[in-house]
Amino acid sequence: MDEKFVNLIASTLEIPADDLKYDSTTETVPQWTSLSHWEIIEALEAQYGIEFTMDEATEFKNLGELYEILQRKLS
Amino acid sequence: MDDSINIAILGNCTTDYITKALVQACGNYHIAAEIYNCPYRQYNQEIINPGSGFYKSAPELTILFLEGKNLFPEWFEFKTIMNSREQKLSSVQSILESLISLAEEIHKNSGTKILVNNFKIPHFSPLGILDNKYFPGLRDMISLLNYQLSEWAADKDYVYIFDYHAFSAYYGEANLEDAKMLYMTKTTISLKYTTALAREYMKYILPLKYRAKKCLVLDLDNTLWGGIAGEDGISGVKLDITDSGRSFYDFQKEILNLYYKGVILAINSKNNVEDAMNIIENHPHMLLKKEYFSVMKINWQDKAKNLTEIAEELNISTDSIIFFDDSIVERELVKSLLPEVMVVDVPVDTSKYSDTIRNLIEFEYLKLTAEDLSRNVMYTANKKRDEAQKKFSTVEEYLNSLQTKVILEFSNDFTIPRIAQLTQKTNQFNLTTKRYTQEEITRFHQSPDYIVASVQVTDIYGDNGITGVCIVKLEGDSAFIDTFLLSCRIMGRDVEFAFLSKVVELLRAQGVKTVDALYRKTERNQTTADFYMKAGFSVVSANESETSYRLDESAQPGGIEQIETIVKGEIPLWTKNS
Repeated sequence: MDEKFVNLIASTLEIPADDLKYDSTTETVPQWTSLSHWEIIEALEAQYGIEFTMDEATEFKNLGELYEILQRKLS
Repeated sequence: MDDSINIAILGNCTTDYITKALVQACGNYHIAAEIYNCPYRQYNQEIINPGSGFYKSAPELTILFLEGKNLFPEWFEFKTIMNSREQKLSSVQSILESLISLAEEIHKNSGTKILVNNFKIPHFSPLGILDNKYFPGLRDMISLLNYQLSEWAADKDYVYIFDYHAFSAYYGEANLEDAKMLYMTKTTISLKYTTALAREYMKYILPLKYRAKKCLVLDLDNTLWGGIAGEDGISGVKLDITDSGRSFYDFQKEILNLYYKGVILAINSKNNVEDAMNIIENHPHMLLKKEYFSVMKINWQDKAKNLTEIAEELNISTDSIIFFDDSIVERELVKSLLPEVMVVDVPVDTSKYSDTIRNLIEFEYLKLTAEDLSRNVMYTANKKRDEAQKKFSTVEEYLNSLQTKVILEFSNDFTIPRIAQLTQKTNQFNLTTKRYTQEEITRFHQSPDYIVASVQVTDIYGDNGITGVCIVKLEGDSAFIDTFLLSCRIMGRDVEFAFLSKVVELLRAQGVKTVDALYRKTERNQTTADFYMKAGFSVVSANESETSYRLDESAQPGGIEQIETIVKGEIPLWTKNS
C-alpha cells in the first residue's frame, strides 16, 4: 500500500498511519466504523477521481483488498 | 468554548453525519453542542413518551428531520398519483395533521424550539411529464404540504420550518443524493452537503444563542462602487444599472434589504469627505444615500480606530459588527487589532459581492419586532439628536430641549415579545443580565408574585419604542428587582432614574416597604455598577461578582425634573396581591 493511500485513510479516521496494515479490518481498527467507512469512500473518490460501485465499496476483506480494488480502478 | 447548546435530532433516516457536522459548525462559533441523536426511526415513541431520552436531553432546539420518501412512500408510486383529487388532497391533509400533532406534542412536553424540515420536491415523478396533468401530481402534493406547513407554523413562536426543498434546489437534488450511501447507511444526504446543511441550521442556532450581528460596516471605494472617489470622481466610478457597474448596484440593493430588516449600516472609508459625499449624495444610481447610514467615518485614520468609534457612537459592542472591505490590508489590520469584529472574506471578483452578502448567516433573527423594523429610523433620529446636542452649551440644556417622555406600561400580549427580546439582547445597561424567553415572561405576567413593566421613550425627534424593562418579585411587604435594563439606544439621558423612581413610587402606593435590588457583574455591564447607589439604595452585601442593595422604607429615589413619566393603561397586576 502506498503512502498517499494510507495517509488519506489515517487522516480520515484521525489515527496514526502506523496503525494501518494490509490486513487491518473494521474489527482490528475501532475507529473504522460503518459510518467512518463512508467518509473513507468519499475521500478516496474525491482524491483519486474514481467512483466505487456499491459492491466494491462494501465487499472487501481488509484494507489491503480495498487498496487492490482502487489500484484496479486506476489502471 | 464560550457557550453551549443542547440539540436533539429526530429523523426517519440516519442522521449521524448531520450530528457530526453540526457539532463542528457550532464549534466554529465557539459553541459546544451536545446533540441527542434519536435512534433511527424511533422518533414517534420518543415524542409520545415524556420520560424518553429525547426529553431527558433537555434540548433548546429540536430538528425534525423527516424524509418524504420515508414518511409518505406511497406518494412516489404511479397508482397513488392516479387516485382521485379528493383522495390525494386528503392524503396531504393527513400527513400535515400528523406532523402538526408531533410538533404540538413536543411543545406540550418541552420548551424547545422546533425546527421542522419541509420536503424536497423531486425532479422525478413516476408519471413523468404528465405529473401535473393529474393534479395534484406528486410534486404538487409535496408543494401543497410544504405550503400548508408554512401556513400553520407562521404564527407560532415555538416552531420554524426549515425550507429543505429550497436547500435541495440550491445545491441540487442530484448532488445531494448518494445512492450507495442511501442503501448501505440509510443516509439521505451525501457527506459533502451535510456541512452545508449544518451551516443552514446555524442560521437558527446563532440567534438562539444571541450571536446574531447588529451592524454592517462598509468601505466605499471598490466596495459600494467601482474605482476610487478621489481619482475617478462622480462620473468615473463604476455604478450603474446596465454594464459591469451593475454588480455594485445589486450589492447596494442587498444591503438595503438588510437595512430594512433592522441591520444598522455604517461607513468606514479612507477618503476626502467632499469626494465621497459628492458620490453618496449626487450619483444617480447610488441607492445607499446618506440617511441610511447611522455613522459615517470618512477620514484618514486607521480603520480599527474608526470601528471602535462607530461601536461607541452606536452604543453597541464591537463583537456585534461585520466589516466589509475590498482591501485585504485593511481587513488584516482589523482582524489583528479587533479580533472580535467579524471580517468578511471579500472575493476579488466584484460580481460575487451580492452573493457574499446573501450567504452571511449572522444577520438572521428569530423574530422581527416592530422596533427592529423601525430601528433604523430611530437611529437616524438619534443622529439628529446628537447633532442638536452640539448646539447647546450644556448637557442639561440639551436634555431639557428633548422633552423626553417616559411611558411606563405593564406587560400585555403586545409588549411581551419585545420584553423577552430586550432581556435577551441587552448587555450594557442590564443590572442582572438574566435572559428570559417569551414563555418565561408570560409566566411572570400571569403570576401574582411578579410584576413586569416596560417603558417606551419618546422625545421631539420621535418614538424610541419599548426600550426598558423592569421585573419585580413581590415578597409580602418587600419587593425584589429581578431585572432592570435599558436599551443602549437611550442611555445617557437619565431615563433609568425616571423609570426606577416611578416603579418605586407605584410599589409604595401598594404598601411595599423595602425594595431589594441586585447588581450582577458581567464583562459588559460595568457602567451600571453604581446605578443603585446613585439612585439612593444602600449596599447590603457585596462580593467579587455581585452587590446586593436595599432601599429603606423612608427613601424614595428622585425623579428627573426634565423627564415626564406617565403610566399607560390600567394597573391590573398591581392589586392582585392585595
